[in-house]
Amino acid sequence: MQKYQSFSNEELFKAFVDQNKPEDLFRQIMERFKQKVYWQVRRILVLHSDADEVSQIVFIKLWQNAESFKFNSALSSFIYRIAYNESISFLKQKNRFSSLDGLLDVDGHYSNSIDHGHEPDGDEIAARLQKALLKLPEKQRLVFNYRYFDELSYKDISDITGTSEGALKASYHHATEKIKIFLGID
Amino acid sequence: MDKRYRKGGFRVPEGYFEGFDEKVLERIRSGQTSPPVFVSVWRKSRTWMVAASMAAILSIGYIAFRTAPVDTPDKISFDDLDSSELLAFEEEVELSEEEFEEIIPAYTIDSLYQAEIIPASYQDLNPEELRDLEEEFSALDEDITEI
Repeated sequence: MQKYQSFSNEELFKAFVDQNKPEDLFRQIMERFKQKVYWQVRRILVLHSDADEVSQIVFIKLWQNAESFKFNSALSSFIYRIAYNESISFLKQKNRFSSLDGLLDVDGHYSNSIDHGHEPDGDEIAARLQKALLKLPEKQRLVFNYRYFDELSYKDISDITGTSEGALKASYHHATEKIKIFLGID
Repeated sequence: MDKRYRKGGFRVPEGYFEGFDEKVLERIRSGQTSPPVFVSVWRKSRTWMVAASMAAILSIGYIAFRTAPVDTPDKISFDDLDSSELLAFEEEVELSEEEFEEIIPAYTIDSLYQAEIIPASYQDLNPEELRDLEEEFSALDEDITEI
């Protein structure tokens, strides 16, 4: 198994598909991506239990749809796109019949959960930023997360979300302006 | 920037990532690969919506009853219904999501809101926040259809 360590993500994934999906190769793929996927999902869904479930689904979907990866783009984009789609459909499903409850959640329950020690780490600045993020419209929050925390390019975010780069830049600009106001930064 | 900040100030249970691979592989092996059903959230809000719509129907009925001519043959007493019966009814009715949306259209919720049947705590949002949230949700809908 040692030899796969020098493989690129795409080479590793090709070996995984070509060898009829052995578990040990899938473990190596998960090893490379699970934390990135989890944090992307967690920042969208906020709660650990939701992020845990959706992250697992992302890798299950990756396994199930392995053959549909075309190898002409980065594996990371393919995986992040699954993560984005699964997170959004989870959010939509969760909010579908509880839009009023859901709204309260965003400001009440969710931002309260940021204060509790067992969820976020209680770091004052990070918690304040996270609370400010929860006040943003969904789209702006997503773009801000991808840019600021994941440090993805607009091109990558555009691939993941299917939104034009221009629209993403506008959203990011609005997001940063609003966050400055929320945090009281001039 | 501190690595911890990059995680957005969130924390995960200790050892979470170590056990992650096995959980995924176990689900793939056993075929438990479906996303979760939102039983609790769905259940909770459905109960609430059924109760609210029942209240609306009963209110309208009550007003109609009160304003009806005195010699109305069928005297209906609201004492005949109690909340446990309504809940039992709700338990029995199994509706699909589509059916439920048909039965309880959006304007019902709006009218409940205006009639202050929905508790005041739901009205704490100011108009600007509500508009933002509406935009947010419609934007979310657009995202879904784009993908």
